[in-house]
Amino acid sequence: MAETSVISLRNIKRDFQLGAQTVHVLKGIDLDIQKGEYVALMGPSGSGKSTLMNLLGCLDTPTSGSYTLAGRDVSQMDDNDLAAVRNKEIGFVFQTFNLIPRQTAVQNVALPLVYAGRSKEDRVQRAEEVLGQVGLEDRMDHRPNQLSGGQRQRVAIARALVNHPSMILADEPTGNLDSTTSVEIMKLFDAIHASGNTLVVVTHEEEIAQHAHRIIRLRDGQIESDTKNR
Amino acid sequence: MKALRFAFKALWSRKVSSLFIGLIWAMGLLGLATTQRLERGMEAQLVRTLEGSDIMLCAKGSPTQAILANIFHVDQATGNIPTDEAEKWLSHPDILHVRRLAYGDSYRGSRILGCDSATWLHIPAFELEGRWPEMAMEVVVGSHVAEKHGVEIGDEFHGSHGTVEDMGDHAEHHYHVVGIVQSPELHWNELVLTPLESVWAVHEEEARNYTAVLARIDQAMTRLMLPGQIQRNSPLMAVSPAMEANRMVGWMNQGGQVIEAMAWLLTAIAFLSMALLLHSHLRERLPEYALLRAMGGTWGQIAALVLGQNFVLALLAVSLTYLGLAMAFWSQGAWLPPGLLLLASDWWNLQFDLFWWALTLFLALFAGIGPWVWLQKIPLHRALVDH
Repeated sequence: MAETSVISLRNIKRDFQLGAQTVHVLKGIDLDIQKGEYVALMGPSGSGKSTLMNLLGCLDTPTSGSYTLAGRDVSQMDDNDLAAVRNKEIGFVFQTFNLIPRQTAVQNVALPLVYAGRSKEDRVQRAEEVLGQVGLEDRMDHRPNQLSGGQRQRVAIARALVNHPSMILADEPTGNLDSTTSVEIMKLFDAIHASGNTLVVVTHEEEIAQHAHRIIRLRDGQIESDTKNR
Repeated sequence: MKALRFAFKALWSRKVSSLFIGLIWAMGLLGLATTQRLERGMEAQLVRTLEGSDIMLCAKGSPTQAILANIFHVDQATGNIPTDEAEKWLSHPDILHVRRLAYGDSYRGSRILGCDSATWLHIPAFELEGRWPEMAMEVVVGSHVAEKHGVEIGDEFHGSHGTVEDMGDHAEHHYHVVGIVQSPELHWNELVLTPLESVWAVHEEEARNYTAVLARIDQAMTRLMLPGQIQRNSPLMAVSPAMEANRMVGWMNQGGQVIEAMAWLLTAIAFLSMALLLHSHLRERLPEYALLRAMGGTWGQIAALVLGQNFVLALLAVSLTYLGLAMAFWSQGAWLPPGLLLLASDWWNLQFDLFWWALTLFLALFAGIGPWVWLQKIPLHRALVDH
């Protein structure tokens, strides 16, 4: 494992019990992602791509193997420790945005800071700052239903950035957007990467994956290829 | 506070069902709290009302009716008894503190109680404006009667026969108001007190009668033996008010048990509704709770948000219950006989409410367990995409 690795997976396996049958979804994944890398994770349906993303995001734990995130072994952590890791180390961007509909853009963005124990004043100040960075300074008090799809995803990206995470994990971030808006969002990701953030984008779209500097392809629960993109 | 605010907002978004559950729950709690208060308060009230009345002599009839009429002043008396027959027994050495009563008339629905001075001096903690009657046809009016009918000292009025409406049959006999009395034992405030001689004069009776005689008995053995002895050897009925009152409390408790059973049923319905409401809320907002977990919320923090809703519902139910209790206390005159009216100190003794406060908190917590376990069982990554 290199010194600057944000993510280090060693022989990660994930099995699921389906009735009496055990399904081996991930069959021993070894992977290192360095700080500042821009990685696309690709694979056809059933390749284990989503399962790997869930493990990377500490939303699930492996059946066996070790996972070190930002220098800490997270593979054996309990639920609440994992919650703390998610809060501090990971910024999530989801395909369906996952914003709280009754809250404003600022409140949505500030949400991770609530669980980081930051003061209200601090939270609002930081949320406004990041919303400005994603070009939503004039939409801060809008609720999700008052925003377009692209603006909603920008709010989600701002939320992912707000806590200075070690990694931003985006799951099909343009899956619910039209092509013009998708281009804008991917430009935003490029800018976020350019400012030194580590990005992992899970996608099945080749065009989206081409924004990344490294493309990892999965098939049948194993890494099929891991290539530099530029 | 954050959790409570969140909980309040979550309930506000389903205000009709939340209010419905709060109301059902409050009705259950109100049933429990009211029966508890009535049992306790009426027993205490009975003890106070029966103080100094170990025996009652009256005309033969229903002992319960006699108690209701002669002690609580809410029913027709069983009849009259000749004074000389009663006086024979009142000379018993163990009989003390005798109070003689003679009913006859009423004034605009309030009973005029012919009695001796021992009776009015028996009124607990009375405050008297004016003076006690010194001769026939003078009256002291209970404070509530005075207030209700605007009666003042110096006024004159005539009674109507029995408790029927004024037919003008006693119009020639005028009562003179010489005092107004007020007692914390509220049934006294509902009476008009006058010397026995007034009643006899109005009815122009040749043979003087009492309606009842109340007395204290000094010796426990006499308390047990004397009523039977009088029953066997005279035309009078001798009743132990305490024993009859116990029987009445027994009947009332049976009614209380029915109310209590209904209260438990309502509480159970509220409990199930609350669990279902919370479960449907969690289903509806599953991705949001998953998001909070994904953003770093611990199970403890999520539990505070989820269970907070039940606690807000509990708070609503308790508030509505106290509102109901306040209304019940305020309106007790409309549904309780004067002799059983409860004192504020009995009604608002909150120490006894601890039981149903604890019950409410327990139910709020318990109703959250099922939905809470359900929430925990759903894998986080699956819940996040559950749109």
